[in-house]
Amino acid sequence: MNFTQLTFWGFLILCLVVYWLHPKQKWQNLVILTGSVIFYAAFDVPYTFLLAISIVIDYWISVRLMEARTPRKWLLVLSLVINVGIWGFFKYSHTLLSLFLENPTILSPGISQAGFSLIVPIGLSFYTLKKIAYILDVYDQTIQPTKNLVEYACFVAFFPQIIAGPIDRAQSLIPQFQKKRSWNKEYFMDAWPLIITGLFKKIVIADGIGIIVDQVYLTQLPSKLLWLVGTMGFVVQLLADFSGYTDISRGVARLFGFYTAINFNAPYLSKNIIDFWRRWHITLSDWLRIYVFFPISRFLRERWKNERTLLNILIPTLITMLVSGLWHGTGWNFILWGILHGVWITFSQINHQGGLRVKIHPTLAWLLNMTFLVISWGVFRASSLQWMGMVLFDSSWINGSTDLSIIISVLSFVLFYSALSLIEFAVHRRGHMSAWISPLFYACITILIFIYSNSATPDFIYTHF
Amino acid sequence: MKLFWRYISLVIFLFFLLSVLTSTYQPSTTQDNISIPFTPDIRKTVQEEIEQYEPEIILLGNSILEKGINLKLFEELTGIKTLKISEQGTTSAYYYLMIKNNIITARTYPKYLIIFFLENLLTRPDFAVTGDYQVLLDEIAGDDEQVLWQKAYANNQNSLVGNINNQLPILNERQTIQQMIIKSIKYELVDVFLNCDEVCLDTALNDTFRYSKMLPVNTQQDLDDIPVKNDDWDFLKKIDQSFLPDFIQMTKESGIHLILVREKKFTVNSYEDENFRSREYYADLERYLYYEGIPLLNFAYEPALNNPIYFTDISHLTESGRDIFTGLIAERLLALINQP
Repeated sequence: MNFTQLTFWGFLILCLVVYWLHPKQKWQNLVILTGSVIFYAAFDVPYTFLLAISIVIDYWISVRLMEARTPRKWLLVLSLVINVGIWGFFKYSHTLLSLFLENPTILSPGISQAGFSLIVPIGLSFYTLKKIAYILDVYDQTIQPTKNLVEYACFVAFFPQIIAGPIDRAQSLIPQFQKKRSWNKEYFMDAWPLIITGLFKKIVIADGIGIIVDQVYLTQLPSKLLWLVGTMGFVVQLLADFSGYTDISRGVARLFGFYTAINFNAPYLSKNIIDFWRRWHITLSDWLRIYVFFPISRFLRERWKNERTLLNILIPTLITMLVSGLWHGTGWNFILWGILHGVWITFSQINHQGGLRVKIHPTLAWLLNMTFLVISWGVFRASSLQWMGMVLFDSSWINGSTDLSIIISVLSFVLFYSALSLIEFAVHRRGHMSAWISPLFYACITILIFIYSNSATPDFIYTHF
Repeated sequence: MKLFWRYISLVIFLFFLLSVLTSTYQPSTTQDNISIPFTPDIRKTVQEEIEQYEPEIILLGNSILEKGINLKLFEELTGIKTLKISEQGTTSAYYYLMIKNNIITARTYPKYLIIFFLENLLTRPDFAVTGDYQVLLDEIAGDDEQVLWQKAYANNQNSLVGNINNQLPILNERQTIQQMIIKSIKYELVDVFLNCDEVCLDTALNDTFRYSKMLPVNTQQDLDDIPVKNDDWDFLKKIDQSFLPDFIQMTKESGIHLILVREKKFTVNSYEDENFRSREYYADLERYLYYEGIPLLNFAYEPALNNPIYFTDISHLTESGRDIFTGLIAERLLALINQP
């Protein structure tokens, strides 16, 4: 049951009706929790139990953390071990065992590789980050833990967010579950443009260009130019897919009366990489900044007595981006992607703060930044580092005139869907520029959604992370 | 709220406008409601031809057959009187009606019926049955075509969807509109800059994205991610809903030898060029036909035609390709017929 399926919308309408029929906040929360359990169980029933158990354990730990004479540090460690352990087990056990199984002497010969094939629970990476942030905030006494298990469970498993975020922090989301909510037509007025835009981005733009991107990335050895235009397509696809998901998620949450975090703010308009990470997957960037970057940075400053050294900038940034790479996937390409971003961010920081202060024309800065982004997304999308290396070092720039015709055709797809993205962006940026232009825009994209929709819409890309 | 109502009224207006435009360009789509039975009149021109010419072989197919077989040459090579029935764009529903209402109703039966097909169209009873094709089917259908109704329409859409689709042409034609958009994006710019037309670009695409040139690792999983209707390639799932068992039953009951011919696409030159799904599909099809005693002549990997110069597009042959294919068919058919 994903956001592009009719079943989901039927389920949502049912949930909304039951939800708004109950005037009491306590019952409304129960409706959300029940809806979230049904929604999650539609993907996998056994993993719903895993989610439930981990919620109960974290809730218990968070409450115990506030009690006097408790081993606070050990409780924190316990929670981190459980959360990171479950996440690591599902995410990395298959990769690690595959490495072992390549050397049969390490494991007993009776163990087959198929026996270790694990499906990662959907949304695991997202709800794990939410729970870790909550426990750390309670431990730091930044927030008071909720004493209500239903509220905490709603915060973790809130169905518009559980699959792929946004990774809202407890400070902003839990108080909304504690507040009395009554129907207001503004909820609907805020929600419908977000939902229509999200569906447009996903079904028309992301899926429209995704087919050709997949073809390029499935080719054994595309020419460098074909890879480059294919990657430009992926750059458009990824933003449309993920921001489309976020728009729908925010729209659905709004229908229940919730404000959830904005995750994207025109990231491809950024002129440097630091700015990019302030605009791209904002809730993940914030999470990494608060719970990884700042603690490491603080620790190093204390250790090196506030001296501004290259290592002081490089180490926290590299570790943070490495964590980001590992969070996204198990391949070496994700690690390289993280390192590339870490190095590029460090370079930018040195330039801005370290005194180099090389001044570049804004257009050139944007071009430079976009070039880096295209290449790094190429690494991110590659099926393996080996494949990436072959494309960069073994393939030619262009394989004759037939290749050129394909490159122009792919470029044509990229230009068309980029133009659609730009129109969408322009209409949104201008807001309600005219009483008719916005409704006309939404009506046109509704028709396009309708024309493009089919039963075989692929999953959102970030549901795989 | 005013904005929302404006949006709704504009959506309705645009739907209406597109519906009018669609029905202007595709007038036949809305002519008939598919829940209404076909008209009782059955065109019998093919039956009359059979009775008059008394062919020993009937070749049944669509435009690929029309352009792919030189009938005069075929008759010369085989020395057997042959009739070619080929209607552009038609597939199994049309063949079913043609066999049922024209071939086995004739006073004299042919000895051999050869049906030409491409990809999985033998088990796609819902393919080419709406719009203009519905009119075409109606010409050779009676008013009580229960099997046709069930397999071509009812199994694939409930009557509500069917009715809505027929009342709102845009619903029915949305895939066509999407294909038009994609076709423009795909071909226009290449044509303008490189003077490379559809055939030229398709040749390039098929060469670069040939299956044997795709990544072997995780290919099955990656292919599963590509949005195609997987069920259409599941032979075992589709066989009972298809017209193939009816072809076999009708011809067996009439003493006609049924022979199937898999046509060639220039994108597939060898078994390695086939993806997993089509490999499985054809393996199941071959097994099924073996048990039914139906010969299958497979020209998909025919080396004599492994050259794009023999094709005008992905599946239609040029004149030189047609003569080669005609010779091959005649040769293989004679070998089959003359088997002890």
